[in-house]
Amino acid sequence: MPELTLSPVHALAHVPVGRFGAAENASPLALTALAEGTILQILGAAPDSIAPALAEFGNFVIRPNAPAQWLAISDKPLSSSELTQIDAALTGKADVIDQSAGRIRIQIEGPDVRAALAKGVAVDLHHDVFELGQSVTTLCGHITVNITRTGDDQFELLVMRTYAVDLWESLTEMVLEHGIECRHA
Amino acid sequence: MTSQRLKSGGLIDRNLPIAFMFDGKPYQGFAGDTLASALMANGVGLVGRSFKYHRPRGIMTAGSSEPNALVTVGEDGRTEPNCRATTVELYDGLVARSQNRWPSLGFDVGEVNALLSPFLGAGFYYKTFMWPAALWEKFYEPMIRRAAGLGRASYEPDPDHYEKCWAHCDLLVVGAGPAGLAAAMTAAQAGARVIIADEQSGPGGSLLSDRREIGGAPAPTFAAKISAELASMANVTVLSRTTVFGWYDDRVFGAVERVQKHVSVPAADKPVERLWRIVAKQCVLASGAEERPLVFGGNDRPGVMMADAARTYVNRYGVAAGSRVAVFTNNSSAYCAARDMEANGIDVAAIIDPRAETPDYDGQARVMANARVVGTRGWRGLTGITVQRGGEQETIPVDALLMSGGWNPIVSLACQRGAKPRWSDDHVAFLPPAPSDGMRTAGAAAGIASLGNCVQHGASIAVECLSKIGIAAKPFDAGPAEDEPAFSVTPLWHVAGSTGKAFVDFQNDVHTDDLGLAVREGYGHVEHTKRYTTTGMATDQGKLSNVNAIGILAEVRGTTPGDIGTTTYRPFYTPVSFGALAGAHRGRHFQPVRRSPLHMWAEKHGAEFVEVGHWYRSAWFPRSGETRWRQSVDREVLAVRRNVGICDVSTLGKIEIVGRDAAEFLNRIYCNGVAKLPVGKARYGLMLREDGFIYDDGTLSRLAENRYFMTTTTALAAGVLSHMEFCAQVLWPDLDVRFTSVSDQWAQIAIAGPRSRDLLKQIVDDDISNDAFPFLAAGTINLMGGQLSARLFRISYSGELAYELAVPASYGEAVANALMAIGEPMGVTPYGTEAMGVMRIEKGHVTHAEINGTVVPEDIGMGRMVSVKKPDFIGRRMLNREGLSGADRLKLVGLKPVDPSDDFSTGAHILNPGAAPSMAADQGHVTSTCFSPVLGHHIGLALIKRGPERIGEQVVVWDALKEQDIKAIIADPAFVDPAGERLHA
Repeated sequence: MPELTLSPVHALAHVPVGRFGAAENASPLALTALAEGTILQILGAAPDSIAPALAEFGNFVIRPNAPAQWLAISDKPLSSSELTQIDAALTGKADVIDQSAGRIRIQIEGPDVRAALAKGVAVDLHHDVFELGQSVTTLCGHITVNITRTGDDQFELLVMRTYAVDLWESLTEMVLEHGIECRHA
Repeated sequence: MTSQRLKSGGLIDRNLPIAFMFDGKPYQGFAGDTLASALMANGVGLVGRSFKYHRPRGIMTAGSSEPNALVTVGEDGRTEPNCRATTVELYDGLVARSQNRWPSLGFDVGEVNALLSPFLGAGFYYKTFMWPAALWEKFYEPMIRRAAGLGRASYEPDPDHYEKCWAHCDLLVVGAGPAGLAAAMTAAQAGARVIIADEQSGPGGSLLSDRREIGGAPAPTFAAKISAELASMANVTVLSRTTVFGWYDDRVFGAVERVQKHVSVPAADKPVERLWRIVAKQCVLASGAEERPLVFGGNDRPGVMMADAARTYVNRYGVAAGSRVAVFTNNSSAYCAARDMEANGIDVAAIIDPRAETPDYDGQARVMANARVVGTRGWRGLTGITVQRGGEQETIPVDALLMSGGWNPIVSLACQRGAKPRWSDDHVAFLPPAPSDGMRTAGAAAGIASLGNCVQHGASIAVECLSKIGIAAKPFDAGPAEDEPAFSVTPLWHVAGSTGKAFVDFQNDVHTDDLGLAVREGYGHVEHTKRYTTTGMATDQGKLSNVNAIGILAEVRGTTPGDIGTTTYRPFYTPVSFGALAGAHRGRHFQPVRRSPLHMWAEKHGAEFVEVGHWYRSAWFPRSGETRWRQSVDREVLAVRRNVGICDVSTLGKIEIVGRDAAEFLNRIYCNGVAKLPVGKARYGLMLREDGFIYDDGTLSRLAENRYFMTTTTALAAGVLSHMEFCAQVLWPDLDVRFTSVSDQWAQIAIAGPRSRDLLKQIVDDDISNDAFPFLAAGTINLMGGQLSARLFRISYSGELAYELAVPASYGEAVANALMAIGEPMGVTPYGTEAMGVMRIEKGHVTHAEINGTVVPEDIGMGRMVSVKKPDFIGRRMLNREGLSGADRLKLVGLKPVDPSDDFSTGAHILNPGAAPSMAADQGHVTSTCFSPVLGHHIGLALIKRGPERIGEQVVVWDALKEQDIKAIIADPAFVDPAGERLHA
């Protein structure tokens, strides 16, 4: 067998990066393609009952995805044996489906982030309504996303891998009037 | 009409002159002008030709209700027809053209229609052009459309972009006039989230046209101060140039913002228009009131305009409607217009009032009580009016006549969800319906008359709205407003005995006689009258004409306007461009593009892509020297059949199913038995719909005791998942089963051909010999020295020895690259969906071309797959219906031409030799065709009556489109390896 190394390729590896849109805005939006870590779709258990088991494998945050479904997210990629161990640890509590390669995380932040996202998202993301850490699965334009507020003016969009490039392109065009800096994490 | 710019006054910036063109002639206006005010300032009185009679028409209003001054603005791709000159903001270099005239506005050949007008009444076209019927579409309709019409759209692409967005608020205020500003301030000061929208270039509404004082300042100054304060507040969004056009379910409002319609060159970073969807907890409709025209002979002469519009032109734009004007009114408000004219030095010759008692007037104008205007003079511009008082007539030379027939509260938005407005004899108007679902009306829109009262009303209605959502607010105090006389009005629906056509609907050329005719011919219901006469149609939707038409109908039918009622209110309040409705979703963003994890790999190998739903699938991989797609496809097929090829099948739907009852659940989903599928095995599965017809097919693999992996067709990936959700949640909630789409998690590669195992063995760590990993084996394996864990399935769509390898999507490209590199010595070939399609036809495998919603398993030779042991599965009962098992059903067979050089098409029908084509003679149809490079001729699959019994029989493939009769032989659908030996090799 020839010596070949299998290396992963990020779904957004080929999108253009740099500054786009209105040049005059001193505080442009920042769009970041986050590294592919671990994304587990947890079916059937409440976060409280699975968080301790997951904590042994990494710094997971658990976000609601759908009724009785959660997304456990960590920046650290896990090996297949670790995934098997998680599966075993949660037996009887929840079923784990690995979506680490199936979902892509995109971070968007900046003072105008809500005005920008309102061009695709129907959910009210106002400070007083959509709290820090809150998540919702909704549409951004035509594409399903899971949105989480991760900072004062910072959100994370989790999107199906095969739509990631299209969402990225849509986001960069949606926010042209605010100006945007696109980058990889 | 000899309108002109006054030496001073108005809110325009006289230091900023603006050059523009109208009908090819250069003019100059000022910043702050509309196209209409600038034309009037240049003495242009004739601006358009009427819809049917091509009568000369002038500017009637100063806002969005304008029926006459419709112009085409812009050039090339930016051409926009039917713009109301009264709402087009002037910008440097603006180019506008008049419409519906030829060869010119001044000399219009269509004017001949005016001479024919006695014959062109309501219903004329319907009555006249009925025979012969064949000529309607080819001749009459095109001819009528050419003669009568509005502007024409450009065929060039629009260079600008549009967008849509969402907004949320506690209180939406529609209209930024006196009541709206007070409502917004009330809510803003209470800390509520407020959006206030107004269709004009800035907030203020009627305050911008008023000379009176409020809060110790002139009305426009007051408006500017309040607007600035609102704009400075973080909880307030002020949307100017924004028309709220519709009220929809769940308190969602549609609005269109004209972001860059008022600039010479739109900035590329911004949209020209933005469509807002505003979700409001409460809404204050402060849309104001529309002045009604009076209906008298010659009331459409250029120079006859609405009194309040003339007031706007003089106060806001510093433009006089004429040098000597008269006022014709049945109410007190037009006296304010007369006063404002005189205050600006315009000679007001007379105020003509049909009432016996007239309001006090301290100006110079002669007030004529008990008087009516019964005629007008002039052709392309007004030169005089004929006034009748008692038995006497008097001609008064004027170049402008300001008319006012009362006021209609603008209730459209409040009525768009079914509520009807209420008639008020006191107001001589329809008032808005009672508050409902968070919608309340304030100010003039609610029938409130004076400036001070409107402000107070707006504030108090806002307090009411906010109390409904638990926000305590105090009404905004604007300070005192200047006194004005009490409003009084007496109905005058039309002036009897006047000379010439008395127009009710100016845009559609509907006059009083048309309405009478409609009633006489049985179209007296207001909705029928509208359709029969066209009153209230087209771009202005009867903003000026509807209530007058209702008043006249009431008179003709001897009843009251309240009894007649209004027509139905619907969005849009004013026209909305298709650009705004489409938003960003056009061109390449018309629908999202879904890229396979192997997209870049396929692109690197020169793939031609084909759109399949959202997906871009690699269709074939041309190599140098190949100029036709068939050359590439034939090569790819032969490479797979003789050697090995790899194909991206990542787009197949993939669903992972878990739970104690997963087996039972799947056993009910598929019509074939799957409960006993062992761990480590895959099986072909067929799903039926409840009605017994085939829904979808795919494979099911058991990965562990309670964990399955299902594939679906690409087309029905989402549909199958929804179907399963329905079954799990509604039909069998007692089953312990959960599932989710993993379509995006896995890149899936088909490796097919006699040498596929040879290739795979070089990257798979595990034993995949025929014994260890036989046909329909499925399991987790390791790749390349444990570098990656993957899933391998020994399944075949091509009919060859074949595998599908699933790897985490991020590794898809790397694994495909490795397969190509390792397989290079053995000539591994990438193949696309076209070659895949050819091979499945050669093998007789079905796809949705065959399982098209009309076939049951028996029809495609899979009748024996349907379980007779299972107590139930989706489709079981309906599958037993009579007719789904009849001998004459269309059944799957292969088809090959008698002459190998012949070709036939999908969709062609099958006839017995010698039979004439007819429904009765139809034997079936061709479902799929291809050129088989293995066999060297075309083949097809077909659904033919009793097909399998007729193998070897000669039939005719009849193609009416190609005018072909091809002789063909019915064959076994499996042209290649019918015994299936290759699968097990």
